[in-house]
Amino acid sequence: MCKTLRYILPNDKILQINSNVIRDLSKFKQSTTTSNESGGILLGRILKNTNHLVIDEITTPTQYDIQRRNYFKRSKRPHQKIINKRWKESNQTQNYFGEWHTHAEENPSPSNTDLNDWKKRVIRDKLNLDFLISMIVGIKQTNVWITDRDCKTFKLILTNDIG
Amino acid sequence: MNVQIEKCFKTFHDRIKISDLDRKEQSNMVLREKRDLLLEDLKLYFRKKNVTRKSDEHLNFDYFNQGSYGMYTGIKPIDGDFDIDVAIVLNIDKTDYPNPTTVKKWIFEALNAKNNRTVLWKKPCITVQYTKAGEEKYHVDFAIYAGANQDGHCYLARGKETSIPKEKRWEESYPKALKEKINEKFINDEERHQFKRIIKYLKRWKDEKFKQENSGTGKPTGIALTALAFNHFSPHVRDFFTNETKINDLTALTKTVESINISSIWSEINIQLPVPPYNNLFKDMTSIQMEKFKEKLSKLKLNLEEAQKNVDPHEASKLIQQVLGNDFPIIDKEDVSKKSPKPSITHSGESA
Repeated sequence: MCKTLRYILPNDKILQINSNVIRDLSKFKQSTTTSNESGGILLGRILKNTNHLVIDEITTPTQYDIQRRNYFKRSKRPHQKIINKRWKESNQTQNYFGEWHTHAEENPSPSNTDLNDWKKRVIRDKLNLDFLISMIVGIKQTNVWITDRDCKTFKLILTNDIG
Repeated sequence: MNVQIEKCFKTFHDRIKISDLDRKEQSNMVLREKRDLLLEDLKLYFRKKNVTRKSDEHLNFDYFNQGSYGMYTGIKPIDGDFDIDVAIVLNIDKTDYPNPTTVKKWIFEALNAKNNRTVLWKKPCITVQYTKAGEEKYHVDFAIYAGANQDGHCYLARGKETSIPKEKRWEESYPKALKEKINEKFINDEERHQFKRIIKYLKRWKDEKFKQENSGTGKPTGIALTALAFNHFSPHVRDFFTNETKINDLTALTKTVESINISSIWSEINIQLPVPPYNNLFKDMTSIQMEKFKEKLSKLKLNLEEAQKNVDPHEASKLIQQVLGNDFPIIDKEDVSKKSPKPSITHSGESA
């Protein structure tokens, strides 16, 4: 059974990534020397009362995306379609929170391409949150960052002890 | 989060509990009527028997609900076979009846008088099984006691007519003592009620997770779980800081299960009946069955602990339902999530 992961956000709220998402993401790990980079978007909900965040769905690479050993290009349309569909189906509660992709390294960190893309995204994307969430799935570890409206990027710290 | 989960526990409890048998509630009517009918048959039997006896040797009995009905820890069975336990305390001295099956036979004969019921000999009791269209519907267990002994103690008649001699015995037993011990463990109403609820949750978990098994084998008995809760439960009914009433069944259940778990890391689970005869309530389990029981208990603990940490009430309720079964309601995802005015717009992206 995959573990649910919880991170502390700069506003002291919790970002929870559900175990089904961790399980789905682990299928795309670049564990072999030939596996290509994958990516997609993160969908989640803002909880009433507490304002904690939950990511419980992802999209996965489509035939319109480009996958190379160290490169992934996500097309706009198919992923946006899913956002719209899920937002509607969920009575407007499910929405786009950010993106994920894989790295062929054990403990991943963002490349310049990644950092630039995240900044660009905060400016150009129409976000429901005040920040963008980005996940990189490494071979051994998965790390999570947020990029705020000032285009500053922070790595989030795991917590699994919040009651 | 806690408020929502506590609501679920309340719904769950309302769905599984059996209310007091002798309170005039429709759901218990049939069972109460059947019990009273059987008790009438017993009275009639002894009245006839007494005709040939001297007046100072007249047999009579006292009865009361024992088991979960007496302790208010009964739950609705998921297989539909309701049971009720009745203690029959006869005014006899066991020394006059060295073979307890002689006495049990009276009860058997008295009850085995009509066609619509099946009366069965069981080691600790005589069971009346009512069937409907071939299916088990409900049964009444009569435990028979000798209550007028020179030593002042109370003894349960054990054994079947066909049992080997050492199984036909009078066993020191205090049916009311257990009931009192459970009912008097907590003076405070909120604490006592939570204690009873935790027992019921554990019993429903057992029924869900041991569906294919019979009691006395791999499936722990209700009384064994009651005794575990008796030793390991501590109440969570007040706010730690303000001391105001704040019921937290999730924490109370989690802590109880954690405590049972910790106590049995290096050993088998061993729990004695808290009153005489103080027998080990898990003695009939083989070591493989014990391992399975402990495995299921660990899974229960993991799910409850994760439900406590989970920030999403929807996910938390799902985790609890996985272990306590479908009578535990799921909190709707959309009810606990905020609406957003429109779907966010994302553009194509690059990563490397």
